[in-house]
Amino acid sequence: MTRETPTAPQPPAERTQSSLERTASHPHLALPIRAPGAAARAAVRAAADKKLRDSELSDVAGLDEMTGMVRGATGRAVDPFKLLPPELAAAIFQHLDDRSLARAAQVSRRWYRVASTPAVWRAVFLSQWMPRAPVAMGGRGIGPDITAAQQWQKMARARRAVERNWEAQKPNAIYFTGHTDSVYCAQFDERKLITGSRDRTIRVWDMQTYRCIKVIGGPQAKPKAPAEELETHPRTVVAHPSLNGTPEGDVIFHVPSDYHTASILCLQFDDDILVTGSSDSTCIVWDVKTYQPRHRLRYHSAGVLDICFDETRIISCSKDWNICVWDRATGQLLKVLAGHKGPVNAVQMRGDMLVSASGDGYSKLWDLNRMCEVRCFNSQDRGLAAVEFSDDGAYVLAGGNDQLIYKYSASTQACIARLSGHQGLVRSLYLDGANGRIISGSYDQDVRVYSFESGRELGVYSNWTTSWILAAKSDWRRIVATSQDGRAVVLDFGFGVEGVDLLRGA
Amino acid sequence: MSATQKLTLTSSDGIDIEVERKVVERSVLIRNLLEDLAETATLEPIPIPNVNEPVLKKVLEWCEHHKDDPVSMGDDDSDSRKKQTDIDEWDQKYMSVDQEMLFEIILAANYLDIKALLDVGCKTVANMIKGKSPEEIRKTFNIQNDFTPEEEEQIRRENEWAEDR
Repeated sequence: MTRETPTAPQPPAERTQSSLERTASHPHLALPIRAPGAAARAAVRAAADKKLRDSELSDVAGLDEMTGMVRGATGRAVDPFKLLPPELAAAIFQHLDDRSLARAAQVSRRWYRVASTPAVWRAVFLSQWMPRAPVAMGGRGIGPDITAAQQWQKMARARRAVERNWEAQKPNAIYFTGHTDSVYCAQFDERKLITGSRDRTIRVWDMQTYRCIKVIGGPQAKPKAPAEELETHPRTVVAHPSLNGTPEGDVIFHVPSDYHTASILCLQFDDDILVTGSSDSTCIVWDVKTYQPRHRLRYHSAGVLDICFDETRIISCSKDWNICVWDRATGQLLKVLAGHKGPVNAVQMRGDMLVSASGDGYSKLWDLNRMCEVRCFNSQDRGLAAVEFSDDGAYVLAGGNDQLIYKYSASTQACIARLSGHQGLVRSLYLDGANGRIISGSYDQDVRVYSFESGRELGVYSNWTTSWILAAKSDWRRIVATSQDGRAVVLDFGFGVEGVDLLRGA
Repeated sequence: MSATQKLTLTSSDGIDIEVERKVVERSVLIRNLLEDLAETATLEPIPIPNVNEPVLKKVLEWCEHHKDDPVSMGDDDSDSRKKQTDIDEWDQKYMSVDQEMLFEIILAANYLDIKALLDVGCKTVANMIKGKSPEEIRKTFNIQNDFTPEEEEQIRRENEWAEDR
């Protein structure tokens, strides 16, 4: 056997001192790049310097005022980036937030170079803005592809500006006019908004042009005259007139092979299907690309008040006090969950757990594997209209008649917080887990925003429509609210923000 | 080969340090080296040419304390890791050293490929930067402002978006 002699370990993939200096971008500044070799000479000097000091290094004296760090008696403050190669300097900067990084860039030329590199801004941007939960509504606000080259610093700047508009409570308004009666439900992504109305139609709106691109309903439901013009908020930036009764309005109106014959009360879509629930006691499962019906779900004996679905199941709840579980692929009824003693107004699921809210004043938790009730949460009095489930399944939010929003622990059933402020029935709740916000809509015509974590009120938007708020949802840059006045309105906190389009998804 | 087996490391300034194998295996560089070596070869002192004795001892102190931590899976470069900016109490105390020693620890952790230590070191320096104005940062690290007044003004304007208004 040959005897191996240990050799000095080689450092992993050593990068050269100047690689970063070469690639650093100086978008607005022509800073002289240091002459080759200067860095190396400086490093040698620093090393020599250091050797002298090493011998005295260990005698420790008092605390440094600025840093709170114990300093050696002779250990003076040193620029870390004189000693550390650029990739380590970048590793340090990656732990900063946007403001600290922007300040670090102003320290010296060397710091500016490191602080301006895309990799550093990428890390800082993503650690601040990477969604903390799956995004079910709207966009993610982090650009099309986090693995691709993007203008991270500009994106950080745009995202910060949007965030400031939320803090300042200064959105711009975009109105969607066309429905001829109450708009009960809405969901949106970055391309489209889909709304359902008491006028028995479903409308699809383009989220880029803010125009109506499709109206789906029976022949009786076709709107004839333009909707009346309603008052808009002073901060309005877009309010296209209704196309009802115009030739263009005729073009976008579609009568599918099957359609609801009464109000559209609830809807949800993903990349494949759209499910709507109606006062006609049925649900329709649509192909979301063609808007052709696939199944009609019949069992309920009264209006379908809310629906939700996952990869395999569709859940509907009704005024008939029942909750139905359907097979998503076939549309077959799997189970009826009975237990509420009043209309079931809202349902939501997380994994195999389903939460429901009823006019009987209770919110219930159901296990969809065993198909049984596992918990029951009591509200102060009277009916609950809306319910939300946190993404980790740990919390339940509910709101209703008593004008409060309740936050319960799902495991202990204890009420952790009561969020007050609304002066009317809380008709709609949306938990934007990715951005830590609760959005509520009420008959008092207010949309309110609360911090999910602390319960603190973050915003109040009063009278942006002329009647009750029936649904309110949000993503990182906007709230979409629908109203009894027949309109949907986007409160856009990103409108006109420089670089905001960089944050759009693919 | 037992984890309590003793190995000898030789620092850049020629000092031999005896250390438990399990402790020194916190270093991916050394762990890989030991895996590649024949059993008998590990009886020889292993030269660590880039790290002097005081720094090597300090690094080994960290390895000793963390020797029972779960071994991290190489490239968990994920963004979740960066989110936790907290440093545990022992590590905070450990990092309460001279600035130069701190930077030496970072360099050594990088060279020896001890990810968790490198991370704590980088976070410690980041915490020294956070919340400070550019001038306060210069004071903290004894840095010369080498911008011309025009450049300084331009960079200030370029970055003022990040400030609260």
